[in-house]
Amino acid sequence: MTQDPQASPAAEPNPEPTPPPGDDAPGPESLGDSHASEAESLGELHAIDALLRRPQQTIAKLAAADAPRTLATLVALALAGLATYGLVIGSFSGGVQWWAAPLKVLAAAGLCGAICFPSLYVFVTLAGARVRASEVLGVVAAMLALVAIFLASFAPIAWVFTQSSTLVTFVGALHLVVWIACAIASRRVLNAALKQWRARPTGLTSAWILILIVTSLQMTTTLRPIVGSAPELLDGERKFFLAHWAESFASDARSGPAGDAGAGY
Amino acid sequence: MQAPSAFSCLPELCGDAGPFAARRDGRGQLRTRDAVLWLVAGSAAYGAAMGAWSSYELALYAAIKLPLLLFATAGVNALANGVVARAAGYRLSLGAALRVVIASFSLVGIVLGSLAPVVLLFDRTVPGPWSPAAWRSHDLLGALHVAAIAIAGTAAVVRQRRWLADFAPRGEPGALAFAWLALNLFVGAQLAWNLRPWFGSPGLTSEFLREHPFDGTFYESVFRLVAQSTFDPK
Repeated sequence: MTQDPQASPAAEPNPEPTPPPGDDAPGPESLGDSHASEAESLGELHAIDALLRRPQQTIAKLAAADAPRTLATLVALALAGLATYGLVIGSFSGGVQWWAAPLKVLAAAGLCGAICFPSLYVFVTLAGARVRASEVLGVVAAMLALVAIFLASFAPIAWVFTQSSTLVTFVGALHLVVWIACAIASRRVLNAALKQWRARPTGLTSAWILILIVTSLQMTTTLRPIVGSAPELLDGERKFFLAHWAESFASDARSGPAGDAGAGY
Repeated sequence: MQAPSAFSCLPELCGDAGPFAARRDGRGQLRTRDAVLWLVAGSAAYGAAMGAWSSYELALYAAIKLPLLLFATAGVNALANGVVARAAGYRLSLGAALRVVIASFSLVGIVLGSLAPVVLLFDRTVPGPWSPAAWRSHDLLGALHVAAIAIAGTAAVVRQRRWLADFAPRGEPGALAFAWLALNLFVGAQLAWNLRPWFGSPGLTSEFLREHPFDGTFYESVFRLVAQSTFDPK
């Protein structure tokens, strides 16, 4: 059962889907064959599983009648995952960073999503999608939720390094690498959405991921300190992220390793 | 209900619906109005974000000047664009050619407008024009604007090329869009030079136009810059 894109304008929610007969557990290769099956209820699939394995189902749910519930689930997932990773970041400095780092991580992710949302809406429209702004907002939420799931799954690994390292720049760079990798991995949600909307993935949609990453790098620099500590909760000094990182690396290089880090194995 | 009507045309302006100038359903004029509205709204938003690094005053000036730049470029090139199109065998009147160019400029405005929040973030978080690192910020923002304009321009040219296929002699997108791009870039760069300042230079006051806006050209300044760095690199 397929939908005619011309007969299904963006202003109307997708019709209630019909599950394909005799296909209780479709394999990954069958996904996307039918938009009806994509829009089917998540069933036994947990929301996390759905985002990881079948993002198209989640995207289809965002256009269905219970979109607010799906959106609420995605926002809750994003909050939980980002706060968890924020705790790991805060554990490096301790003190006020125990609560400040998770809050700043949540603020950074939310603000980046809000700042980059208009360009995503325009870019997917240019890619041929006919969607409402609310559906694009849902995709941003789904991407943030997937990033948060990835981050939470990497949290134990990041915690080991966070507890062992004495260099702010090393820990900061590690968190940035993890964040960028998770942001790139979340592109599968955007690809699923483009497929759902019958739009072509273009260079613009790839460029959007880059815009999101660059925006997040500047946002985290603005909200610093997130990894290290400072007398003030916010540094307040205006700085470009590359300049900030260059200065931080130079400072750590001058101070050298602390403790017995230079003693070899 | 002006706003919802204008907003609902966004997918059509951005989409594959075809060149609205060619429509025979009598809605061409309406679409031209929508395109003009979006051109003004999007480019004014980006202009404001651009000027906001220096001052609110320059933000206001740039918000006025950027739509003006796009309209001036389209107007100055209108005749040449139309003649080139006819010479290349395209079935486009001068008016239709101008409407297609305005439509693609409205795409530029829409994409730029959507990137305005990102630019504003950088404006407000990198060192300001009064700080010791002002020139570094100035160069960084210059690169950011070049990237944003390149993204917007590429999107517009790709879409314009598809629109023009309907008018092409063999129904295939030809090189006309690139010829127009070359003309628009050539004239647009000069007009942008005349309409400086855009995001301000450290040490200079915010003003609508420089003291002698028509002294020199963009191309002379590039030549001087290259010659100076090559022959007198002190």
